[in-house]
Amino acid sequence: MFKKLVCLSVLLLVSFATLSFAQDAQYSIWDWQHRTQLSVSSAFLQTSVYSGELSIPEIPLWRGVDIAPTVTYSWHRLLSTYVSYAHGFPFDGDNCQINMLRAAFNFNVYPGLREEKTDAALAIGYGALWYGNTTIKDWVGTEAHVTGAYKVHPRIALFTTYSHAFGPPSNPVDHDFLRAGLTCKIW
Amino acid sequence: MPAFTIDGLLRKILGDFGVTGLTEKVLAELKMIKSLYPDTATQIDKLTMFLVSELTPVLDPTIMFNTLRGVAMDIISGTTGVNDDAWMTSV
Repeated sequence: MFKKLVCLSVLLLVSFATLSFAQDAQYSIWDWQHRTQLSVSSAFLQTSVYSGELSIPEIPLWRGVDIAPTVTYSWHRLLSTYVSYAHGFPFDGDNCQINMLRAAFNFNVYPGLREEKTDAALAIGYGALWYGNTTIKDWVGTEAHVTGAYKVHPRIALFTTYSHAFGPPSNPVDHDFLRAGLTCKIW
Repeated sequence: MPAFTIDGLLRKILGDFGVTGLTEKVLAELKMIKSLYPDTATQIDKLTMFLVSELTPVLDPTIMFNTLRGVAMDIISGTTGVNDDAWMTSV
């Protein structure tokens, strides 16, 4: 009888322990200390003016490297908001340096709620974008993006993101952005 | 389990969104890449299948709406889980 009780207790303890590991920690929506993340990324950046007509002989193109500090707020396992400011240095000395500010929502496509945590992540998002040479006010619009990332260290990840920016009615010129590089979690 | 083919899935998903021309371009590019680098054909098929299977729920308006509604309800409840890896895709 005693042996059976001990076995049952051990079984219950193991079950509860497994259950507690399986459940995610839950926090208040406004618990900024658990939800805020600070990171810095550096990447190859290419921007171009989007045109549906491929016959245009010369499409303005900017290529360089940028550095971008970012603040992220995770509202949910699937939803987060981030604000990122990027300053870019061109490969071509004739081009200006650029500034870019983005405030966007990110929706996690992978891993979803049913998948275990993995080193890979895939997200789509939408937000506002300010872009310019000496200021961030030369071009203002909205952008939609898809981002893939792979963690190579608990605090470092490789990423690539493609973003299409939609011009406002007053300036209906779209832009394409491609970034690929490293991002590092600071906090 | 139905016999999925990558071409069929891409045509179905992208075709439903009225971008049939883009589908054909994507398929042509994939075919060209696989012919140029035959060693990577299997990996390309696996990667494409992964992307298609992960993006299908996102591209399906009904599933996406239900998922977003669930997320919104969780947030309204005031307590949710945290994605510790959100920084990875905030770029």
